[in-house]
Amino acid sequence: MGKNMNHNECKELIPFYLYEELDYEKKILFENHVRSCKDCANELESYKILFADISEDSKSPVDLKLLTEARLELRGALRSQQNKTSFSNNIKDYIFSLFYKPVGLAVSGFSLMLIGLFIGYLIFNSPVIDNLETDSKISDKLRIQNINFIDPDPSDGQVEFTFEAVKSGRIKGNVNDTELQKILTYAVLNEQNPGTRLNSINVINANQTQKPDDEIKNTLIAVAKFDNNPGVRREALKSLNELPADEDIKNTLIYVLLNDTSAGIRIEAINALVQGSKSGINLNQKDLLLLKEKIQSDENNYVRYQAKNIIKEY
Amino acid sequence: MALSDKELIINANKGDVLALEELIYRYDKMVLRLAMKYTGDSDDAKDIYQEVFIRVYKSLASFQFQSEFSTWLFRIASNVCISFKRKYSKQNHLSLNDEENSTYISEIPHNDALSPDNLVVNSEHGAKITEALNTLSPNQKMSFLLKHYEGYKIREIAEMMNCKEGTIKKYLFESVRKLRLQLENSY
Repeated sequence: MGKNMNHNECKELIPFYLYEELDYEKKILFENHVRSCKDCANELESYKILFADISEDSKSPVDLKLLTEARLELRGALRSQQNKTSFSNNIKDYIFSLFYKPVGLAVSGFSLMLIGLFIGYLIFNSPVIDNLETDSKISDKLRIQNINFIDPDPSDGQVEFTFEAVKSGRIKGNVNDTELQKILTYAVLNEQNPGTRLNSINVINANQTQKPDDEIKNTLIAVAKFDNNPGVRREALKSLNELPADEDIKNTLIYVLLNDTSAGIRIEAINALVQGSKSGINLNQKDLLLLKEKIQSDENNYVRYQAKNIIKEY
Repeated sequence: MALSDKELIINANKGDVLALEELIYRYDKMVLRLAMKYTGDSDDAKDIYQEVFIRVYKSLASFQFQSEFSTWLFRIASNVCISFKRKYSKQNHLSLNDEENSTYISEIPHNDALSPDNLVVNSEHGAKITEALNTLSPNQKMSFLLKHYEGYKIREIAEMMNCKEGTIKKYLFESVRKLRLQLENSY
């Protein structure tokens, strides 16, 4: 490139000038050219406006509901991956164990005893918590679980394993307590036991006198859509119906109506939509189109009948 | 004090599930936003998000710390995005007035602007930009998003997309040119 820059060269460099990715020499040539060329200066201004709008668009936040759903689905997928891994590890451990010599067995027995003593030490030597725990305090008792051997071979006198030290907690408090609600929301999303998830939703449901928290609402939405247990999905849907109707809840009801495999839950959803359409839920053309489709495709007579009733009203 | 990426990776590789979760949550919004902007569809974006982090989980043990974790992550994300095949045909249309042509719900095109759980585009310009992005080739779109939405340097994008800096410059130049053409009424 010579000491002067022509139009084409300058125009090609505009984006990279704005990215601040031109080397010093090119930057000076570029700026000199733009100062003396109105055409290129205008071109640069128009790029600046374009980049500013793109920059504005790039700042729009991620949809929290979508993020919650994505995380919930990922957690399920990772759980199944981890189960696969643990299964293969167990097989590997079993095969290794077949090759242990009698001396090795003795050493491994001794090592296991040491591990037991270590776990016992962690459990019983943890800080003693007063039995009369105050409200909303979580105790520091540890529970050891999910021991996973990295090096189970005791022949060199060393073993290595990972474990989870779980704090057991007890909480007693007002149903509206923030900490209590937070724990329950976590349980609704993460507890493996469907009964516990169900109980957690029921407790959250009892908190309807308060203004609904967005995090709780989003959790209930995600559970109503994606929990693998129909009872839990149904309970989440019922809880959502107790909240003031809004666009998110309407969309969830429609999603459930379209996608849930359980007719009982679809009935719950269509009933809530019927109720909602009388009390302020606003159905747009797209919603009506989906309901119209439902009239033809749903295998359940009641769902079809109610979908028809809603459309008639509009 | 928050643990560094490296510490979290080391802990995660030792089986610490919480460390893995913290590592994922540190970056997952960026990955979801990239996938959302790349596909323009919330279901497709969630599929990409999940595929990216499953790959991260499976190969985290082999991560050698030769680059930043975020560079490695976005390399995986760009690979998954570029090779992603949409599940549904987007060419079907429904009409309220045409019962015979009604399609089943599973066949309804996942037009994001119509999806009940869509990501709402905040501005008119945002919607226009998203539409214009769909005219770009996968590589042009990915380099454009990594530059303009994630703010990476050309050198870093080249590393993520496993190609030369000159190639990324061409992609960027071409994508900006196309976007200007698409949005010329606005500018």
